Amino acid sequence: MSIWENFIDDIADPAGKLAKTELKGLIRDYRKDASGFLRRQGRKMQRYITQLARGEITPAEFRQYMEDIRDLTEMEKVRMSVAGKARAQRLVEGITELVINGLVKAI
Amino acid sequence: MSTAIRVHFSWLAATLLAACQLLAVSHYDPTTYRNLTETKPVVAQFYESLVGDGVDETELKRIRLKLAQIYEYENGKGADNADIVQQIEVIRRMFERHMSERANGPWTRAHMENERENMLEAFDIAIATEALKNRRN
Repeated sequence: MSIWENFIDDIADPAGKLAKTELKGLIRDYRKDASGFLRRQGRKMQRYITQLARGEITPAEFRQYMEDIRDLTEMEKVRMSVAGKARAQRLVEGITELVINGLVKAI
Repeated sequence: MSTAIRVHFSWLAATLLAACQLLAVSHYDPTTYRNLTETKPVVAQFYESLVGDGVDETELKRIRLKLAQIYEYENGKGADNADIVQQIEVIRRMFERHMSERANGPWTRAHMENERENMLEAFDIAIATEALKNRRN
């Protein structure tokens, strides 16, 4: 098993509040996702946990990165929404220009 | 053309117009694109300086001012530009969170590289969002 997976498994959690298997599965799924954005976040999460395990970053810094990923995801959601709206707007403009102002006037 | 066909296309035009209003997104703005692409490397360079002992307060103020100017410019464009405004708000929030944390002391190289990567990714997403509106893309 890799460093980041061992680190998650070794976290002391007597109350059993941490869903370790689900957490590892989530990171693995992100890394294989079709979305380039989610794959990047999955790779970063894996790297952060590895850095935390090696003592290269502090838990407070790790928490900061998770807030960054949350913010980046919010921005990506906006980008995806604009992408959809821009495509739809181009379709509407195309129909108006080519069909209504072009074809309809010609027939 | 028969009246029926004209009525049909008038209805189609009205529907498309309504759809346009629902899907409103501001037009591509080269000033927005330039503001974001010019500010990104300035922020990157500033982050690299944060591994040192002090913080260049003049540069910090300049970046805060630039981000505030970008926000005001975007916000002034109106409701159709709400998407980019939201993204600029997130960039400013991330930047201020990083600076609050930096007030505790110099960053290690690993931490700086992680924070810089995330900050630049935020700029990249906003730049990509604006670029989506460019018809040539």
